[in-house]
Amino acid sequence: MSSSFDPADLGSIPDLPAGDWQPPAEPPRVPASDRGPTRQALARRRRLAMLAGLVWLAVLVVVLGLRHDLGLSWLVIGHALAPAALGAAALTAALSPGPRGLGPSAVTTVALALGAPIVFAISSALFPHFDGGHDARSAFFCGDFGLLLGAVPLAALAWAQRNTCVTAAPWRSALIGVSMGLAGAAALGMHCANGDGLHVAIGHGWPVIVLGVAGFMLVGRVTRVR
Amino acid sequence: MSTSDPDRGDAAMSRYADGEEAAFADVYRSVAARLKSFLVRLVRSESLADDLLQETFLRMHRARGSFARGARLLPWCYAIARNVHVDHLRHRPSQRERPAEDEDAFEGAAGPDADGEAVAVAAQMADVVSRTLARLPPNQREAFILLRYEGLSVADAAAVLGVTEGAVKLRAFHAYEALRDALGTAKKPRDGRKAPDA
Repeated sequence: MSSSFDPADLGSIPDLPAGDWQPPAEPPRVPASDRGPTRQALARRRRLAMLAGLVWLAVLVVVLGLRHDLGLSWLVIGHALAPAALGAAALTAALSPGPRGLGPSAVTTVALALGAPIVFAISSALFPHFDGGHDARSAFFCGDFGLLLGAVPLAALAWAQRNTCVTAAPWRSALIGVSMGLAGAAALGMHCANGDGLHVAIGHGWPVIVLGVAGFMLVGRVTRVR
Repeated sequence: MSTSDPDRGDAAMSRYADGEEAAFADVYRSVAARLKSFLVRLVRSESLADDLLQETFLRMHRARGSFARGARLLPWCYAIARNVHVDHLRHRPSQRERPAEDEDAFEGAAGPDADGEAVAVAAQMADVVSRTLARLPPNQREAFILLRYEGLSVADAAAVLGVTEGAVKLRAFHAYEALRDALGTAKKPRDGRKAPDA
């Protein structure tokens, strides 16, 4: 792009009149069958989806069993609370109306959707190695549960957020997917006692990426205003 | 309600989002004309723009719960109208490079008081702009129309299109260059005809 380009230069292009159409006094009627949820209804839907997601995570962690070393607080912080906080931040950003009511800016959304899994992986890998040890099989096994943990809350949020994204629906939905992946990773951190940093980064991290991609490719079609 | 009072449109949409059905009439009156002109410029057809306008309001109704408190109505509406246009192109891809269905949508460029030559020149320029815009990729066309004709700031246009401000500027710049070239080419033959008379 020419460095001298100023959007004010566009004024040199002649006007393109679009007629002097005036709207009729009576606006068109919306079909009674077409439901347009109000803010209150949308907020209820979101609360219900979040509650369902939390219940799912709690039940599944209890069913799978809590890790035996949960009493060590720094481990809980590293493996469960840190991804939970990161996921909550990502979800808050994804659902925020942003400065113009059109969601967070494109830069913020993309940076968070790509950055949050990277931050999780790096912080997990740098976390002091404890016990366990990393191998591909255990990473794949743990990740399966992470996927199961995060997928249901993601589906619930996709239902709650349908028809709400007027712009950048794929990226905002990717951010929702990443946040639910991080929630799954946090729940997994309450169950899996493998304290190897690489295991947590890869085994608990790959579902975050998969759910982010699912958010981008699938959930974005649901959340986009149609 | 005056169409030049955006704050009242914002407030009306806010009431509509809260469930006050009667506020829809105010919302409609405050933005319908601007959305219609935006869509006419995008699709170059009055009748098609009417259809897309109707669909835009239907989607606004479906998405009303997501209209944030304190948000401005116009960028939100433009974003929905733009989605409607994108979906229209997706379902009818041959429309992308198609000539206008209703090219007289842009007649009368110089207004009723202009003299005959001015009217002819303005109409010719508008026609060149219209045809060139129709040949541009949709993302460049949208960026240019939002900045040049709808008067949005770069930041607002970026929010409407869901891209960065740099991307909006780049798209508008490419459109601007294409239009400038087309207008330059269009002026040359006319100047050429005038030269012998001078």
